[in-house]
Amino acid sequence: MKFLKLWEKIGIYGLTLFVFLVCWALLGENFVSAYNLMNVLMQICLVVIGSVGIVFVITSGLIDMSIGSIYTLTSIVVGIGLTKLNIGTVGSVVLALLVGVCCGLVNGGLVVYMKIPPFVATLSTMLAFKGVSYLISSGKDIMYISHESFKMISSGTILGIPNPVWIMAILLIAGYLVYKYTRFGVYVRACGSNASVTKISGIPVKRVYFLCYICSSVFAVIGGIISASRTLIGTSTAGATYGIDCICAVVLGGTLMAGGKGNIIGMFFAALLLGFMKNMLNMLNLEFYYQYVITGFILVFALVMGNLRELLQARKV
Amino acid sequence: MDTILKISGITKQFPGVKALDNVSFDVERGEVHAVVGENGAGKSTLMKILGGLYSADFGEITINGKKTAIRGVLDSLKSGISVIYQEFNLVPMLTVAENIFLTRLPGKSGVVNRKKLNEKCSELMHELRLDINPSAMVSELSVSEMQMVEIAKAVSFDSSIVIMDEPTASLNDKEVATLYRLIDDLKRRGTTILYISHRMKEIFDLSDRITVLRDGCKIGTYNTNEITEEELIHKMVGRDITKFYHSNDDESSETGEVVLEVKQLCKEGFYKDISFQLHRGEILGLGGLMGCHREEIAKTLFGLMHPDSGTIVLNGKPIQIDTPADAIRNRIMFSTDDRKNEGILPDMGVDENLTIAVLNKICKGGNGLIHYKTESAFVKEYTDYMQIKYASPSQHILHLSGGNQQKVLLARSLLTDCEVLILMEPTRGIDVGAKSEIYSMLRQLAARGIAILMITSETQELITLCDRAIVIYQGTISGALKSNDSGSAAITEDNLMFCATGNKHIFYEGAKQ
Repeated sequence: MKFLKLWEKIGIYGLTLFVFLVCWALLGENFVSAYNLMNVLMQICLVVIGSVGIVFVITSGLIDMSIGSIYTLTSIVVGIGLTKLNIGTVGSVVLALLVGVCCGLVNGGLVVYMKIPPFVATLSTMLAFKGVSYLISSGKDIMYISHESFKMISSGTILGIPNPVWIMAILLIAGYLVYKYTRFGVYVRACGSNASVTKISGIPVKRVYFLCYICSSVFAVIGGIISASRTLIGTSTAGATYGIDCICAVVLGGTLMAGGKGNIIGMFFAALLLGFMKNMLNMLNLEFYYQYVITGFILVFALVMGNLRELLQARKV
Repeated sequence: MDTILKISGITKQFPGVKALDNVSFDVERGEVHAVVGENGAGKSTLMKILGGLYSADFGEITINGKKTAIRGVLDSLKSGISVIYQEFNLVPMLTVAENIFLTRLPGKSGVVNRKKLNEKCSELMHELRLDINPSAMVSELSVSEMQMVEIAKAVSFDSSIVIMDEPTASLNDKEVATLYRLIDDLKRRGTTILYISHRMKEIFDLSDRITVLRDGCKIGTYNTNEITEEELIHKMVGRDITKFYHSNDDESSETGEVVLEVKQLCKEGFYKDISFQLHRGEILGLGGLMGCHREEIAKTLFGLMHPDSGTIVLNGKPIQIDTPADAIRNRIMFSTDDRKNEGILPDMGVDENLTIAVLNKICKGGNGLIHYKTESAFVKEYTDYMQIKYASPSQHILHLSGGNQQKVLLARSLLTDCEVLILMEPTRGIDVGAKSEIYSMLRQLAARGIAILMITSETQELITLCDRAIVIYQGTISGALKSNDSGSAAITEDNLMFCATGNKHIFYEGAKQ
């Protein structure tokens, strides 16, 4: 029991530290070099950004399966903005963000007004949004290699730190502050903890749901923009596992699937843990599919640990 | 005198039952006004109307001399009413302070000023002399602390009327004392309190006046110091006893040997020293008021709860019941009071609902393949026997009436060849006609030698259906009554009520105390 209590407190942080130390022991100086650590941050920043939105969605008692498709759609929308509409970098980014808001409104509308269970609703829109990206790109890739200013989003640096890492840090901190210190944050937790009580208390539950879905779509779009600026190609096949990766990091980070309790810092550490592992497998020249096995294992382990205390307590009744 | 709340002609009809029938009474400013009645008398419905959860079909509510329409929870709050319900309305994952001020979080432009929030909450707690940490999670509080938070929340709205629905149901003596003190404080501030309870002691300790409801009708309003406990109990129960139930005298069954014996069963915080015997072919009623923990006793016998100490003896052999599967193996069956959530498989057919517990019986040769001929034979036999009305065997059970659903569930238990049948509220939400059918069915089952333990909130069922009744008061047995007792321990309304309120302890001759 004591061990379980300890786990509840430091669980994911301790585990991340443990993996960090294992990597250090296995790989030595190469691993802890500033260059390599920055590399890890660059790799995880897309997932972290998308996960910030997912923390809000899951904490409010919902789920969003569609962000992977929104992420994909973004690379196409940006491509169309840059090459066909010629509205420049700023215009394309704004266009993509607007598309994100629309996707969020569609998800929210299906769940709030059509009363479709969140999982099925967003599973349907996952397919629909994917279809839209094929449709508007006619199934072809869109190249935008020559757009230097767009490329700067991911390749530029400020104070020697790459832009994506800055963006991740800002969004992470903003998400944390909103979650912890604002009325909206309290409402999100209240909705996820007990929606009917929250409604009886006179809180606009529907609006909270809409905002959560807009939040997750927009964050997925931001992730998509950074990724597009890295690859400089719009393709409907990109980002197949993005949604799952985000949900994985969020759950591993200690956010309750049932809602009511989120953990943004934990999510960051979970993403970091997964990043370290990927990095280690790379450096050891191991095949990438080991990563799936290990990730799955860690996820099961964390979930079992999280449930164990309740299970043990339930047996005593 | 100054009337703060005037209830006139409130009527509320639910399908099949008139929960409130033209109820009118006045509440004076600053008084503690108790509303009493048996289970199902309409107390809670009335409170939910005042709280804005239900709307009345007829009648009007006047607050401070102004006619007020209460259409929702916010309306009710705005007109100065706070209701503390039996089931709590707190968000478990938020802190105490966040819960109390959920709709009124202090701070500018969406940013919550946590310091001010906790200060406000501490102030409130200090004012009420409560020792609860504002930043504690509600999910970590004890039930009584949650109760106190609910009260603090009501106070924080500066409501002029606070309604408490059985606030002591989950409190121990010390916590009840705190509640008394809180009510005293509120009274001194000039708050009016509507206090719903059926615990005599509290009613007489706390209230200034008492309104009695019975079967949805108002019986009268009395000054507390002008009525005795006994008079009050008579007012609560006194009705024409055999209206539509047939008595069990004509088919009084000879009860056989002891099937199930419970010895000294204890569970901290729920029940204590529970001992009784259940005979073959008898219907034993388990009476008591809401919150007396008789449900937990029944759940223990079916392995849904585990006792701290005590033994359960079946046919002379002590048995261990850890899980429902253990109970079923020992041929003890259980029928739930929550038909919708724990009973029926709503989207499955009548046939599948019937046979779900005995699928191995209808699988030929135990190879896991369902033998549909056997199944339909079973279904035919039992639906005929139980007189279940349905369109076709595969009709979704959801579309049957409550009475027919209940019969299917009874048949499901029967199919398992049980010896002991535990029934929780077998006629809850069932209309009068189906009720009497179920009664005669239960008598038939008893005649077949099944021992039935029945928990019911309907006094009439205990009187007309049960051979014996055990009454539970605050987790202990306060009475054992017998239907054909020649002495003073017959199952009557008065005896049941005296035992259920802890007013008297009545045992028939020969009953083990």
